[in-house]
Amino acid sequence: MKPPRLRTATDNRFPRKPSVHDLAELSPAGMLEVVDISKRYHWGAPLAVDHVSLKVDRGESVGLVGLNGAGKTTTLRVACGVSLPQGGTTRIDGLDIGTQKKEASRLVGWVPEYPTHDGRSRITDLLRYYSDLSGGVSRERPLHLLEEWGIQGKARSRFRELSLGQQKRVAIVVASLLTPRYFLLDEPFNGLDPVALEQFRTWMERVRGEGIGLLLSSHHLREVQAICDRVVVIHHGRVISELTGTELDERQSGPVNVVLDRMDAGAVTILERFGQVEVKGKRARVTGAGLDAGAISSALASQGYAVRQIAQEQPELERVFLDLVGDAS
Amino acid sequence: MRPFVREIVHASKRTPLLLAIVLVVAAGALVPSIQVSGGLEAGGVTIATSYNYSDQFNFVVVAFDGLGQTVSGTAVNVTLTYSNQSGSQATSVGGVTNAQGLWGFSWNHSECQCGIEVKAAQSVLITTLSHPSSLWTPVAGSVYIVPLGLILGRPSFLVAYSGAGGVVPPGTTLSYCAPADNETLPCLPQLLGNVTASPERILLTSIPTYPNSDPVNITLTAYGGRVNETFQVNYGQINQTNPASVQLAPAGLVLRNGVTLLPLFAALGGVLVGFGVYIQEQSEGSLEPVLALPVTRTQIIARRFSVGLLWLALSAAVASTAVFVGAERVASVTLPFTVFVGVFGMIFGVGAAFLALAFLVGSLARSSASSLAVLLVLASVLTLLWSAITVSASSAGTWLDAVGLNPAQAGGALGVSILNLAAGEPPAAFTPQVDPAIGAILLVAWVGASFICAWLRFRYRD
Repeated sequence: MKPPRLRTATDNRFPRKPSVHDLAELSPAGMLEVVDISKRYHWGAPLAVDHVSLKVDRGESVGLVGLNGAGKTTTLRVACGVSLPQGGTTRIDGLDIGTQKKEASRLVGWVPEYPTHDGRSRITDLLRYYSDLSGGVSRERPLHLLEEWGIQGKARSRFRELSLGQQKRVAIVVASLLTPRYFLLDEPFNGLDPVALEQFRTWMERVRGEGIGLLLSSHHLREVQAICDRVVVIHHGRVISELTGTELDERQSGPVNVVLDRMDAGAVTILERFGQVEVKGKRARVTGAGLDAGAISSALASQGYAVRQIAQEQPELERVFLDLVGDAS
Repeated sequence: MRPFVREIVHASKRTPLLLAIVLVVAAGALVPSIQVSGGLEAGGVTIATSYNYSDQFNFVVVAFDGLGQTVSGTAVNVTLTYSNQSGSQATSVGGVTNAQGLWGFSWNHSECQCGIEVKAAQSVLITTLSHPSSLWTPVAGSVYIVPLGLILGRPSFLVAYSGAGGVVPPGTTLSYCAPADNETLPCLPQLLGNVTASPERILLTSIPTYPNSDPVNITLTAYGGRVNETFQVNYGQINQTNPASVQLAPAGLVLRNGVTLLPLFAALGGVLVGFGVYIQEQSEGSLEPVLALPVTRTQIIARRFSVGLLWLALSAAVASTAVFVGAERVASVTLPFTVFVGVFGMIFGVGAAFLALAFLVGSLARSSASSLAVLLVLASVLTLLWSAITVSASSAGTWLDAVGLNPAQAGGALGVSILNLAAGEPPAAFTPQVDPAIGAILLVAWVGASFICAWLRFRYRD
């Protein structure tokens, strides 16, 4: 094993100016934290975001779901410093985006739902402009990113000439210029064709694997379900629920259908320990929260019942979401 | 430095070909102004000057041979067109038949509180009376020296005028004084002519030969009118060997019409640049991707304002150069460099004030259309307010004067004081309304206050 390099006097004499990534590495908090943010767009209007807090760990993927106008986009805009909150802040690996904007913004990339780059500019000019403004971006990087996203052929096109899908790719290229630690993706799947959708999915999986955190808002709940480790449900500007993977599984535990060799009172008693039971001949349907088909099967088998068939229905995130929103309303 | 350069490149795509065109056109518009105002119109008729004295409007209409042309037999009718609360009226006040002569008149109309248009039949100049500070401020029955221009290649001056109903006493002597070889010697006045009748006008075209061909200062002095009244006009250096280079009209006079146009374009330029580098992007949302970059809001707005100032400086330099070249080529007038600096400063200053104003409005309104609306509403409210305060419909539009920012008014505090930033220019005849230092402070205050408000709004509110 290679021994650790010892610090020398030379190191102290001419210390390299620590980069923001060095500072972030030193930070104990390797996460993006949205802390108690509130945002009102104009005087007299209701709060678009009302004391919202959430966090995203590195390598974690968090979905932000909610109805139209729930505050998802505002949350993302505030989190990346594009919009100013009336209260609260966002800390990115310990760096406050309100007071350490330059440093914090290097760690986060924002991809808006509808990219609003200067429509008259050519893509190469835009990328050069953003690169120079950001600093520390090599001349080759924008070109590499364009190639990676398969839009190098559009480099000389004006932004307004691109389709929405292409514009979104450009937005991701812009967000990726500084190799951020977190991506904030606002409705990333909107307006994408199946090929682009697959490209986005693959990209998200890859960046997650590289330890980059993702916070994405979406109406495509199936995509969120497939990609995200956690889901934050936001409604009327407030976080009404935050479900981890396990909690999500529990919430999604649909009814269990069982077929036994005999359906007598003993079997029903066992099944009623798990939830409400509807019996139809040798079939029974158990409904309730946190149902586990394996546990039901084991309980029945331990009492001598032969389980011919057992299956659990899988409600989708839509139903969970609608239940939550319905409760909140 | 690199981000700033990139901002310049980025902004240049939006702004300012249009602005450059506007300012070049503005500079081009100066050329006829220079021709006419300087009294260099060849073989034409010009209204040399006008003034207001105790409710009486006085004009001098000059029909003269210029640059080898003649106006023999030309009959010139002068009509005053004026309007007031009782409506528009026109009245003919006289005519000029003298082919080479001078003619002056005064018109008494104390009720008119508004602009008067003076039109000659051969309408080479239409001037509007709106300000009492004109070339000279005569006293009734006194003697004045007014530069008219080149007549037959010689400097010409109108040296006696009856004024507002007064009389110049016969026997009034006119003399000129030029220092001898040794400038330390006392200047001995030499007789040029006498006023023999009143009212009288004397055209002086026969400035005697100078002691040598070296540039000298010449002082024309008229003794007459009221006892001990002396008027002196110093025209600076006159090179006898090259009469074309004689600066007959002071720079301030030459540019008088120009400065009424240029500040307007400068103001327009400031607003246009503001739209280009800030308001348009703000309203289109293309500023948002920049906000997500590792830059602060202060950096964004400060860089863009700096880019705007840079564009204004560039445009001001182009326009000033055009004025300079135009005066030299068209009117054969060599302006001192201080005038170049003055014109540059005026365009840049007024432009910067309106650029800052555009930033402020853009920060408040958030869209191009609303910005325009806010500017219009602001102007309307101020206009109404000012007309209420002054109890005069005709002065309703002069609220910009009140805040020191009327770019259309050459006598306005800002324009004139900026022109006077260079010591000694323009001549004393173009008396500023406000001390140059105060004018400069006003300008800086305008730019600073507007920009700081815009910055605060942008920095702390979406």
